Amino acid sequence: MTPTRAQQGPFSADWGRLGGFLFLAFLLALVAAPILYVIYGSFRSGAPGAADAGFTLENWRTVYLSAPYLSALWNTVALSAIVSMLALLLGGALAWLVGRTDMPGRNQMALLLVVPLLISNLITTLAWIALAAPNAGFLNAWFRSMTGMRTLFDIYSFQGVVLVHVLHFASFAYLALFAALRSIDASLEEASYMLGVGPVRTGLRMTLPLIAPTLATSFLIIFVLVAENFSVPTLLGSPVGFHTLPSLIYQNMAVTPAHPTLAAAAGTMLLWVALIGAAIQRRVTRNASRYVTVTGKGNRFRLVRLGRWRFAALGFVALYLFLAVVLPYFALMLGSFMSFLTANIRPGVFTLENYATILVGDNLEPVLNSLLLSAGGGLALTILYLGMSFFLEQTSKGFARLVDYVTMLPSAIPALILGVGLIWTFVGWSVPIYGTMAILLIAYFLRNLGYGLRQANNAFSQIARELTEAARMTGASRLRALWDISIPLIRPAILSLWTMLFIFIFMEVSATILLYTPDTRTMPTVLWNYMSSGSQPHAFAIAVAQATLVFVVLYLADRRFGLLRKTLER
Amino acid sequence: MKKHVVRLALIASLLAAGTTPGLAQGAGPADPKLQASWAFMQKEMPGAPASLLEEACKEGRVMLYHGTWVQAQDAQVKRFQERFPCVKVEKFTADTGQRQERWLAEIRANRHVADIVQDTDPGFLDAQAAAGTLLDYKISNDAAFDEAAKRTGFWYASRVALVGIAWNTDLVSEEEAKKLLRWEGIIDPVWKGRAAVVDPAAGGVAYLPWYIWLKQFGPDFLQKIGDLKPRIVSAIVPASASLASGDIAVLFNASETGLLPLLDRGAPIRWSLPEPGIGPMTGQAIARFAPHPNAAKLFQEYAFTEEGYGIWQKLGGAPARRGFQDQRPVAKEKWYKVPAVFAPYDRADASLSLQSVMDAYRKLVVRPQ
Repeated sequence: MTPTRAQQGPFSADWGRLGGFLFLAFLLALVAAPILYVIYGSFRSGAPGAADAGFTLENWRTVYLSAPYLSALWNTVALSAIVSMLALLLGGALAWLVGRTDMPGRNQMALLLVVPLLISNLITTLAWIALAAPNAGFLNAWFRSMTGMRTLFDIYSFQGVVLVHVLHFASFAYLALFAALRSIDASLEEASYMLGVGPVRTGLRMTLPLIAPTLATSFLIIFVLVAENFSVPTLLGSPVGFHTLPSLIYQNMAVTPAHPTLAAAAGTMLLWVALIGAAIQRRVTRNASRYVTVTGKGNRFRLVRLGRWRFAALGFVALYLFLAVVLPYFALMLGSFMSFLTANIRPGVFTLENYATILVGDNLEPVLNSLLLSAGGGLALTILYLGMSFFLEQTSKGFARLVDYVTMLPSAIPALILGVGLIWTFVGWSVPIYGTMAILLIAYFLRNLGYGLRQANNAFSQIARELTEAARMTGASRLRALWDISIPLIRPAILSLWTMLFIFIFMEVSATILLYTPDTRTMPTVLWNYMSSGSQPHAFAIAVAQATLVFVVLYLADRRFGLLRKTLER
Repeated sequence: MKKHVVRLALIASLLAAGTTPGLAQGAGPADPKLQASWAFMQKEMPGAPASLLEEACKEGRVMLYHGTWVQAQDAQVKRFQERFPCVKVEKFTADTGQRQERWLAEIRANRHVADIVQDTDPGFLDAQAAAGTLLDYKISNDAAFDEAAKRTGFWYASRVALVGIAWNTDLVSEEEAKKLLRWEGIIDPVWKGRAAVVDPAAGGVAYLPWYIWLKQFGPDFLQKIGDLKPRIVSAIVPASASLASGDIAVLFNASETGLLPLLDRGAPIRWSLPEPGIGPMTGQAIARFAPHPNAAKLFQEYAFTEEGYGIWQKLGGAPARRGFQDQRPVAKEKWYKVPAVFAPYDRADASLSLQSVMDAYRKLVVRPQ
């Protein structure tokens, strides 16, 4: 028998395990360095290395003892919890309807529900401002002309912040939960039905606990991603006095002279939030073997018959797509053909100039860079996360627990601060990392580590241990068992992870904007610079081009390799 | 005797060099490909030697750390490269705070990437000059800049980023707009529920008016702004977009930087630039440890020639160069008037007062809900 993980120390076995440990140690050092720099910077009166800077507690005092920051912390936690809960509920409902019922059109809907992730949060926010600004949003102007009433919905509100986040992250939750619901061992539910238990009780007593690890992981990831996001609360919440920690951090970086060390101290608050979240998630998923669903047996599940509710279900999914895709895309498309954004639509405001400007040779390089980083970088990160997960499985529980906590931290730190931490860390290195694509890949590795590693862990945890143990007993090495048994079984999960990383990297701007060079410009940096220059219609045109490009790439990959289908069916 | 003749000839030639630009710069470059560039230099950069061109061409590139005025910068860079094809311009664009932090981190690590740096905070550039991170290089057009628009040798102003009161002409009548020709007009109760302000935390151009208002008119002025319950917008660009779209009627601390692109595209907006005028300079300097120092000097020279300055200024903002004809189409509009008198302020004090201004703003304008 293979020794259990608890019996193995990190150094206790063969060279392979030692190599694995070194591999993990290297990656952890990569994670720790910018985080430690940020923490170190938070105790300095000036940036690390500044001649006149010294040790101080002032930043921590300001952040941890002053009302604006404490209030922002509370807002951040409350917003993240509400959004995560609602996104999981909505995403779960969508996943169940599309994945486990006989709803008409479910195959088409299954793919369309990924589209909200193809538009970045920032652009979605701008699209919603164009739609629902109280006095001049397209929707409100239309509503006013139809009813004479003033406002249908004011996007500058707490509800507006929640709406934009939930519509975006419901798609994220849907992806995770769809796969989890489809991978449940059908025989368990069948047994429940045969014992006369109804679908509701079966769902609550059996299905829900089975997908609990995915729920917990998704909750944590969404919570952290909402907590570190600055664009949505800054643009929609600040006008009504709703500030989160990232919006204060953004302000600290925007003022001149910037206050990066104060921003770093504020960033540490989010580290505690992430650590507590990771602890709760670990508690929920501590008995991963209970959730083994990929066994040596085949898996067929029964679709729930909705009867007369079939079309109501379709209407519900269509309504979500209308709000999350059709409306923002409509605003983006309309805005991208306008000279400036206005609800006062007349022929003179339309132009093709925005597209003519962005479709110049100079902008081809960022497109190629984005594709290269997303496809090649996404694949490299997928392999790294899977490698980390595989080697972590060989180490002691204590070490694995430590890694689990540490890897959540980079996702929790707002990208603005993470970018500063990366500069502080790598700018002085003689190894050619700073100013190359490598530093962007490191940034993406860190930004997605919490998600990527957990997805990789989930993939491995769903394989019944007896499958790999059988291979080991026939004399196969661990790596051989991994290659021959585990990898084929989790291939859909690998494709899923790669797809998500492709999307995330293609959209990333907050860290990239600080780290790019003229040779490593990406599409989002071009978009950001147009937007910062006051040209929102140009930014909208790029956003449309970007989302279309990503969708086309994913669609072609799906046609050729079944990428999206495997992502959904993993 | 012969020695004296040689000496006199030398002095005569030096004197002649002082009055004749062509000779002042010495013999032209040996490379015939550089003749066109050299001819331009003789005309627009009196005093810049031919060796500067030759050395810049040898370096072959210059790295520019610039702000988010992409169109102005692109236009200037394009023309520079036509004038000096031997020097490739590379650009890094980011918002002010991020750009500063990246550049300073590179300096601290002794890793020098930037040749030219720009900044919307002259106080920051002054501090960097004092800290020894900027190169002391007096451009040949130095005399064209007043003391307020430069720190001789260290930085020169590309523009004055003028701050004014902007309104949407579909939502504000001409009669109402007359109130907005003076700063005091913004506290008129008629603007209650119709106006917006940009949060001073956005920094730079958004911050300075709050600093000046507090100095000029006192806390009561801010209190009255707060009474109007203006919408708080996080940055200049979305505020300008909201104004153009008609979502807000009036923007109290509007920046021309955000307004001009919208006006050029036909947005129904106007603005006034009340006196005393408020307008921080945007400065450009050469990094002291520029990896391409000669190319950087050449670019710095070009940026402040009549041609280079005009191209940038046409899209980038009001001219800070003395007597320079404003190239922007808006300057020809009847309603457009640049203030004759500007509010004096101490650049260092403005930077140091950030926290106290923010405190006053939060207490008097935002007010705890």
